[in-house]
Amino acid sequence: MRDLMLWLDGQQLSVALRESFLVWSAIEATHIMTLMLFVGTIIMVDLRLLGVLFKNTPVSAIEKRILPLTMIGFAVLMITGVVLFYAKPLTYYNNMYFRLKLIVIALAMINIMVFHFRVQHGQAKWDNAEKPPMSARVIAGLSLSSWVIVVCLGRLIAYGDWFHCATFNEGDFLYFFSDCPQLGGH
Amino acid sequence: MLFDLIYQLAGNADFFSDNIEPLFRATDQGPAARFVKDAWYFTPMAGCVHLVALSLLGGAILLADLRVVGPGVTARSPVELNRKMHPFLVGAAIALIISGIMLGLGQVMRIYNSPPFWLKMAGLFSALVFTFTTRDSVIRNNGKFTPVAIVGLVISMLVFWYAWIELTDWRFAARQAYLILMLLIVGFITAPMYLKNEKVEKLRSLPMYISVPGFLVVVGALISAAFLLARIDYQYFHELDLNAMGIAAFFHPSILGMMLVSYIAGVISWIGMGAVQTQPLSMRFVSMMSMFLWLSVAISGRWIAFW
Repeated sequence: MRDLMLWLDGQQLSVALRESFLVWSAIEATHIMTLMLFVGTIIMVDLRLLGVLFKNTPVSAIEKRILPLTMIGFAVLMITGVVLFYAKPLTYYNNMYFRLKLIVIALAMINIMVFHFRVQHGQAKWDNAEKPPMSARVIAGLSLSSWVIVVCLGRLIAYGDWFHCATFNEGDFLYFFSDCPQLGGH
Repeated sequence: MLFDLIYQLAGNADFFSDNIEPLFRATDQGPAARFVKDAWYFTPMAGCVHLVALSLLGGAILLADLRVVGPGVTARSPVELNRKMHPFLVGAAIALIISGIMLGLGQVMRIYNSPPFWLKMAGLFSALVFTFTTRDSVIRNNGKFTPVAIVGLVISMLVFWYAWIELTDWRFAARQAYLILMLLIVGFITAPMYLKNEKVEKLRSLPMYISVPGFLVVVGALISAAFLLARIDYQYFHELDLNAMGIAAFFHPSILGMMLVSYIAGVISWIGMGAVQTQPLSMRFVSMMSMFLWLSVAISGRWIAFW
């Protein structure tokens, strides 16, 4: 895996991206700005599912109008995120927060799938309910907390010097979690 | 001449170095700044709160304003949505300001010398004034500009655009970015005036897996084209002062081209985002302007890290 990262890191476009002041900062700024669209709209949908906001509006009405915007936000976040990773693969590869962020994103995706394939099937019954059933509220709670954690972990990536391979003891969980043996120990 | 007049009215470099700098220097050496610098965990934690609050603020602003411009929740009226979002907006703004102060305490003199920081402060002031006077009043009064709305509009626009002129020069990409964003907005709010609904509906009936990537690619390509067009050569203007150069550059074909392309990107966005013309132009204008101002606060905030 690390060989792949080294190969990516040496690509001409990758070097050009990380050395470009304007393109790099514009892509990073777009990534952060899109959080307002993606996380901002998902918070509102989750609050409706929790029965906190828009209690008198059918859940489907909120989903129909807001989820397309959330999807656009997610698409932009994914594209800019992949470009940012491509520009600095070695910086992110061993970063503990980056790895945790990917895991929490995967969990949030599973949560969305559970909602879509299990909970949403019975939505017609509780679409107008002020307080959706417990299963929907649990999913909304998990979604809300996981995206907040993703935002925080994304911010903490910049503080990778807190915990990194040189600070872990060989054999510790975090040492293996961050794939430090690939670096040849410390 | 005009710029000199505004410059004298709004203060100048001497005013800043005589009054503001000592305040920042004292804060930098004070106990609060020392505590933040010594506590290794404090800045990252404040950064997390800042980002989460920004996301919440984005949600509150977008939900209320997208309802007005079109692609929002139509099951509730704009007035009601705006009222519902108010507590979130106020809460997020307070959290942003407090966490922002915490973050700033860790690098007081750096932000004092940072143009993006001052642009952010001007943007924040303008966004707060505009949102809580002009936008709220115009939405509440179904598109009518009350005296409060007009005063808020004049104050916020003067502060924001004056800061924009003073703090960005013509080679600074931020200036181009703001111009592009403005023209996008103009395209978005004026598109419904002349686009035929049946043609738009045909485009909107495309499956989402085609329309979303297609929309992103077209708008992305148009914005990139606008940036490329804006990279004009200023060799003919170098003998002019910066502000005169700025005015002259407006008539340069590449800047005019950039504006046109950004405007088209705004129109395409309107088609892609499922907007419907339900509200008066004045309401759509204040909602787009509110999104623009808050976005500019976030953009210049991010720009601080790169300056």
